[in-house]
Amino acid sequence: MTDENELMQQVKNGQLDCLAVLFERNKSHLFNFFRQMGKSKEISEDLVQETFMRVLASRSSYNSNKNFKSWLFGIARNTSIDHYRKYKKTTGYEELDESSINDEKTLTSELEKEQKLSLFDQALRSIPSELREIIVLSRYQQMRYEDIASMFSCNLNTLKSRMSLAIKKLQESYDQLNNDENKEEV
Amino acid sequence: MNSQSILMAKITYLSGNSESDLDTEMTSYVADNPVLAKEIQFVESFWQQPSEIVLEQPSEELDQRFYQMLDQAKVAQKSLSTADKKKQSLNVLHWLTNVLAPKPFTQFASLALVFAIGFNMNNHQIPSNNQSLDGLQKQVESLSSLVALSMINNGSTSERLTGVSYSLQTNEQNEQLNLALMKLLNNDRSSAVRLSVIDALSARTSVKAFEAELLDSIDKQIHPVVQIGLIKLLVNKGSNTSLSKLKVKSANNQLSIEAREFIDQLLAQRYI
Repeated sequence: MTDENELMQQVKNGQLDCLAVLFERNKSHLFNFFRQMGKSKEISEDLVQETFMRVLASRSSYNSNKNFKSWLFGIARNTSIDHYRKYKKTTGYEELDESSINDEKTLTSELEKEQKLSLFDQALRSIPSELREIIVLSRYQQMRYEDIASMFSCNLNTLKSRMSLAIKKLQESYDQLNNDENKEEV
Repeated sequence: MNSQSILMAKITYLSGNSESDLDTEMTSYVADNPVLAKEIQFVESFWQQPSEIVLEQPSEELDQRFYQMLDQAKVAQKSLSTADKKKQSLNVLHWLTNVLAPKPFTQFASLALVFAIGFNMNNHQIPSNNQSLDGLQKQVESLSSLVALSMINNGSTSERLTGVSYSLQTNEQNEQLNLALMKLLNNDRSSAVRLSVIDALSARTSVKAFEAELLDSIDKQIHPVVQIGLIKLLVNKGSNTSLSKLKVKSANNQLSIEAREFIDQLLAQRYI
């Protein structure tokens, strides 16, 4: 059992203070997960708070044989989906943080590396969210395939196929954005 | 061996899910296939770019909100063993008032209250009869309502929570404030705020005036904890018909699984 699994088991047993340790260790990961899924800073913070509320509310259902991180991100995904369902009618979804994209658009050619990062970032945001999720969890949250597969309730081979499809979509989008940028320069 | 399996193997290696990179046979296959080579190059470039966004940190407000919630949960956990639930919700809300209120606003509110009391005393000498005491009470209540309304309509979660706790010091009949509280209960993006509204309503002598709105509000809640909070409020403070209406909602699957289980437990306790 990992350290985090043990801490969550203690939360389940009524030692709520242990949740603070889990929060401190995971808040930035969760925040960045929501940010990379295209949410604004404010909404991302709300979703982190909501995720930990749900962890607390559903602590009795935690199974210590399961990886805590995978369980936590499963709850985070559901929180994000519920948020999407709730607000899509009123806000037109999706709360992409345009400011960061626009900020990056102002970079000059001297900052080619950053420009490339911006393109990767924009390309990532343009692919379907179910594919983006897999890339974000694997590439940025460094989660193991086994854990992601468990979150998505699929087997390892299916996950690998989805991952390569996601990367293909990312590349298509990246090439498109790159071409558009080159046209603008000409 | 095909392009798809080679690409998959490369991604699996780069993502840390395999320790072995492409073997010699695969590498020569890539060298003979320019499209696949371009794809591999892209994948490598994507995995090697600095993950700048990962360095982004949430604000301190998130920490504050989390620790408020945790403290609230600990208070609730402790008070589960005590019988006086009303006292519990008041404690939570008073605690929230002390901790959450942004300091300048609290200072302003306190100064305004002191000013109102002082002004009243100076103008009316020492209140010598019930009429002047009532007048003073009304002025304080009115000022508390203003403070509560102003904070409830604020953009920050912590100020809305504080506004809800201020509403405890106001007249229960204040329609404008009651409407604002119901609006928060139905629409606020934070479940903590919705729960604090339920806490505030629990401290009232009765909620029969807005029983129908509370029943409707259950359908608008996504979070099971909020649904359960509303059910408890209706059962404890509503009329006798509330439970039967909740039973109908439960039977029609209008409630979350947790809320339905909670109602089943309530009913089981009643029949024991």
